[in-house]
Amino acid sequence: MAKAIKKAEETTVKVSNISPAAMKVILAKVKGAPDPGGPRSGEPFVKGPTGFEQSGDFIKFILSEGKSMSLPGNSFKITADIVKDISAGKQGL
Amino acid sequence: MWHPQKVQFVVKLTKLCNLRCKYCYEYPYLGDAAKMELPGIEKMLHNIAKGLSDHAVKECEFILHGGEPLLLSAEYFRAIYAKQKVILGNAGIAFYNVIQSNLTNLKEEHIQLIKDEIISHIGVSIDLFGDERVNIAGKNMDDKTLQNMDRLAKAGIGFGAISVLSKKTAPHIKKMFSFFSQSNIPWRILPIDLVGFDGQHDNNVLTADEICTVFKTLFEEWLQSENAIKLEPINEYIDAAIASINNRTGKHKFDKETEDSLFVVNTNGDVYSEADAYNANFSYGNIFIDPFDQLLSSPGHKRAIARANLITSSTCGHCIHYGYCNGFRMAESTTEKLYWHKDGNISCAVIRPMIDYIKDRLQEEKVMKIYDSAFSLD
Repeated sequence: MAKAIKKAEETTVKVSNISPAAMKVILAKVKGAPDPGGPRSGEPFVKGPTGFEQSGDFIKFILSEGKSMSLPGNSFKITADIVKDISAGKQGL
Repeated sequence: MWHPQKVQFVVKLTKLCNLRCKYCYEYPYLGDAAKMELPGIEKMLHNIAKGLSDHAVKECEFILHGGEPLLLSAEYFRAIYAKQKVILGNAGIAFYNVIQSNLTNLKEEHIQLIKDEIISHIGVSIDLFGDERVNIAGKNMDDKTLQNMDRLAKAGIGFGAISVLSKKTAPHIKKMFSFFSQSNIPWRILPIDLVGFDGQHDNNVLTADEICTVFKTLFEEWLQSENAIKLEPINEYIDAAIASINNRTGKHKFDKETEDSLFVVNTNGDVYSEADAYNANFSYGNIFIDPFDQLLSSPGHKRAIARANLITSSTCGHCIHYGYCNGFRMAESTTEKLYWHKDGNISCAVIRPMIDYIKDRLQEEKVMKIYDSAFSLD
């Protein structure tokens, strides 16, 4: 079992339910993982674009997850239904 | 001899904050408008420049912390940067600044700081769920943070996020991960680890077993996710698990005496390790006054080293993963984060079970064959 992952030309990884992206990360770690652990590795963050580039996307997303919240400047409480309308172009944020 | 590769300074520029997050360990001080003044900062930088040069350390990072650092003006940050550039630059020390912010007071002048690379990275504190991140009036401020995350994204500025894991947020962990994963935002989930006042975390702290359950869920979600974002501490556990499976050579065991690399600098200049922050018995001294070598040789630093060694010898010494996991997290565990076994010893009740779990999962039956960067399912 300890040999399930090998650094070799052909590397065999035994794992179920894995996405291609996660597989690539694990393969990169197999081939040359950084020193495990280390000081506060979560604090300096990777630069780069997020998945959401348009204004309002973050709010739309979280509302689509079933959360409602009031937005400053709006007199109404935004709900998931309103988000659907926003997505359909019927309302603006 | 002290010789870390690089050093991080968590600099408490101010305790002042516009929020009153219920779990904040700075809670009693969040109304204090005092800030670290520039003459003190200048002395700190001279001290750091000499100390790091004497020990041939070539790189340092400043994590500009609060309170809420973005309540401070851009002009203040530019003045700090100008001093860093001269003092550290002349000493040949590379440096960069990271800000941890609730992002509710993001002004255009702050965005310009990031564009000008005076601030290299920004970490956003947001939970999305749990209703613990509130302002003085008790209003949840996540909406404002989300709006400003949009502004950063629109400006083409990448950022990461940190959320607190508590009994209030744990039930929403899958939705939280889904948000950061689909947004492709690096994310750190941080169990409550410091107490601001007695009784603050009553009925809100998860047990080690409960934290493990959440982390296992996150590992599984990450494993199946389309973006495989940088997710801490899960990615750290995966690193250790793979190194352990591979019996990787070149084991690394953290030694606080020679590698101590994380210094918390309070607003008044007092210095602590992360584990013992604000405990006077473990203060290294004052970085505005005491030479850097004096901080390293102080009784408080020696006590902090002894504490770290005691913990790692108790928990890591006999662990099969020690060296693949370097023991840093245990060495720097806050008292609130230590779990005590019934035999009276400190127990590694989250990290080791997580590495064991991930090792097992990576060695299950379904086989993927990987040829260089491509892979296929058998």
